[in-house]
Amino acid sequence: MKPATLWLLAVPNVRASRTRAALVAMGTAAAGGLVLVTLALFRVPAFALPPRGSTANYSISYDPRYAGIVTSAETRIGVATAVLLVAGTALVLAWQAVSSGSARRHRRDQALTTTGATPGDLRRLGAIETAVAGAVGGLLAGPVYLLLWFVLGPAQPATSRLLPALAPADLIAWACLVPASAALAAAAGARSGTQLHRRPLSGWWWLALAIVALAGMFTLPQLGQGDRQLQVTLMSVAVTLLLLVALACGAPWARGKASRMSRRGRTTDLLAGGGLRALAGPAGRAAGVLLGAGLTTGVATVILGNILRQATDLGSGGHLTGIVLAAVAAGLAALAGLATITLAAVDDLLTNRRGLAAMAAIGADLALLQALQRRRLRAATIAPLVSGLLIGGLGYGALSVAGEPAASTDAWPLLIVGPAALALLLLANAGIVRLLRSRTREAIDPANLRVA
Amino acid sequence: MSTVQLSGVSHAYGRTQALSDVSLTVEPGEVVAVTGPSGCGKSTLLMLTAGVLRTQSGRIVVAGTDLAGADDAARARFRRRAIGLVLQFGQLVPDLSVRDNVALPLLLEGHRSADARAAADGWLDRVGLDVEPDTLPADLSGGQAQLAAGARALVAGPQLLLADEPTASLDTNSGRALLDLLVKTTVQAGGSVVLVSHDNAVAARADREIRLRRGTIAHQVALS
Repeated sequence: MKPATLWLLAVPNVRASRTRAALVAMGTAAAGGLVLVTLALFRVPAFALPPRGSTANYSISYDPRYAGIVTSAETRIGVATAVLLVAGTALVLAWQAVSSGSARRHRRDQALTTTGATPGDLRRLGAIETAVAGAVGGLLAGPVYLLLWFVLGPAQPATSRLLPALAPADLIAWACLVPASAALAAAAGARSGTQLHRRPLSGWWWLALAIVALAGMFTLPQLGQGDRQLQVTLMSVAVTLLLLVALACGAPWARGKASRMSRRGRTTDLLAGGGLRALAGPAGRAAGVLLGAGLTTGVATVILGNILRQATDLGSGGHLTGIVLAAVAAGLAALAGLATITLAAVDDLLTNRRGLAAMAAIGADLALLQALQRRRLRAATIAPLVSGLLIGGLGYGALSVAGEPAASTDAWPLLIVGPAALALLLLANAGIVRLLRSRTREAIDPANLRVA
Repeated sequence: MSTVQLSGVSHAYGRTQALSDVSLTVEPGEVVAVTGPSGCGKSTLLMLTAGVLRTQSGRIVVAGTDLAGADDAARARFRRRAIGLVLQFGQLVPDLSVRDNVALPLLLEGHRSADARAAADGWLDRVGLDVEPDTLPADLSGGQAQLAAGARALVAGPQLLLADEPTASLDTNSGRALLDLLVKTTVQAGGSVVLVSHDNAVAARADREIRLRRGTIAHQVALS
C-alpha cells in the first residue's frame, strides 16, 4: 500500500477516531510530563545517609532550598519510582485509548483485507494512526512539565521545593521525548492492528506469578539490610515488578472473576459476569492500576500513623509533602484506572448497541442495565483497591518492624483511610454509571435492532 | 377479550410517517401474518405491539395491558411477562452464552439461574440447536442464532409471540420446523402469534394475512 493511501486511511475523519487520537495524545502528554519530572528530580543535589549501625562520624550538607524527600538519595529513588508509576497509569489510559473502537477497526481491516491489503499494510496503518497522536502527546509533554515544575517548584515554600530550576537538560530531554513518544505510540498502534492468536496462559501460571511477585516485594528489601539506599532501590524495584505483574494478571483475573459470577445464582451477577468477560482486558488494567493506588495509599497511611505516634512535626523533613504527594499520586492513579474502565465501557456501549437493544426488547429496563454496569464496575475495582490497601499498609508496617526491631508501627489510620477510600471509589463508580446514562439510553434505542 | 387491540395507531420517525391510523385485533389462538414491501411499517407495528417503541398516538392494549399509558419500566415488565419476541437477525446478547441468552427472559423475571438454565437447555433441544450451550453467539451461524432466538422467545411461555422474519436465515426444512414449533407451542397454550415476513411460506402458515402499504392496512385476508 502506498504511503499516500495509508495516510488517507489513517486520517481520523470520524468523531470516534478523533476522540481516540485526542485521548492517546493526552495520555502520552501526561506520561511524558511525569517522565520529565523524574529526570529533573535527579538534578537535585542529594546526599546519602550513613549505613544503619554505622558509628563513624558523618557530616551531611544538603541544599536547604529543597524538601528532605528529594535531597536524601534513598527517598529520592522512592519518589522517582512513585512518579514513574503514575506515568505508567497514564500510559495504561493511553493504551486503552489505542484499543478503543477495535470492533469498528476490525471491520475496516476485514474490508481492506478482502480488497488486497496485507497484514503488513494493516500494521503500518495502525502504527501511523497512533504515531501522530503520540508525537503530539510528546510535544504537549513540555507544557505539562512546565505546569508540574511550577506546582512542585516555585509554587512551594522556599525550603521544600521538589524540582530544580529549569535548565537546558530539560529541553534536551523534551526533544528526545517527542520521537520516543511517537515510536511508542506507533508500536502500540501496530500491535493493535495485528490479529494475535496466542494461546493464553492458564490461570495457575498467573497465580504463581502473582505469588512470586508478592513474595519478592517482601523479600527483596531484606537483601539490602544495612544499606538504606540499596534497600529503597530494591523496594522500588519490587513494587514496580508487583504492579507490572498485577497489570499482566489483570485480564485473566477479570475473566476468572467473570466466570465465578456467571456460576452464581443471582441474575445480576450472572448477567454482569458476561459483560465483565467481554471487558476483561480493560477491567484487568483498571484493577492493576487500582491495586497500585491502594498500595500507595496503604503505605502513606502507615507512614502518617507512625509520624502521628512519634508526634513528629509534620512539616519537618518533607514528611507532609511526601504524604500529600503520595495521596495525590494514589488519587491520580485511581482516576486513571477509573477512566480506563469508563473508556472501555463507552466503547462497549458503542459497539454492542445491538445486544443491549435486544436485551431491552426482551424486558431489561434502563435501571436494570445500570445495575449491571454498577455491579461490573464494583467487581473490577473494589477487591484490587482493598487488596492494595492491605498489602501496602500491613506489608509496609511489617517491613518497617523487620528492618528496625526496636520500632513499632501504627496501622490504625488504615481503619479510617480504608473505608474513606472505599466510599470514594463507590461514589466514583456511581458517578461513572450516571455519566454513561445517556449513552446507555442511546444504546437501547429500538432503532439499533434494525442493524444486521 | 382480544389478545391485541390497536385503535387508530400512528407512528413517525422524525418527519417519516411509518404508520398511519392503523386499527386491528388479534384473538386468542389466532395466527396473523403481517406482510408488505420494505419500509411499509411492518417492523414498527411489531415493535409497538411489543411495547418496545413508545406509543405516539392511538391506543394499544396487549394481553390486558394498556401500553399507551405505561412508562419504560412498566413496558419492560410487560414484555418479560407476556411477550415472546423473535427479532430480525436473531439479535442475541453477544456477552452471554447461548444457554444464558435463551434463559434471559426467565432470569430477568427473577427465576433461579439453575432453573432458568435447565429450562433453556430443554428449549435448545426442542428447537434442534446442536451446539455446546456455553458457546458464545459470535461462534454461531446466522441460522443457529435464529434457532436460539426462537428458543428464547418460547422459554417463558408467552401470551403473544411476535416474530420478525423468523426464518430468514434458515434453510427451508429448518425454517418450517422452527415456525411449526413457534406456532404450535404458543397456540396450544392459548396464546396468539403475529408473524412479520416477506416469505409467502411463512404467511401461508397464518390464519389471516394483513397487508400493509405505506403505513396503512391495504387489505386483510382470512387464509384457512
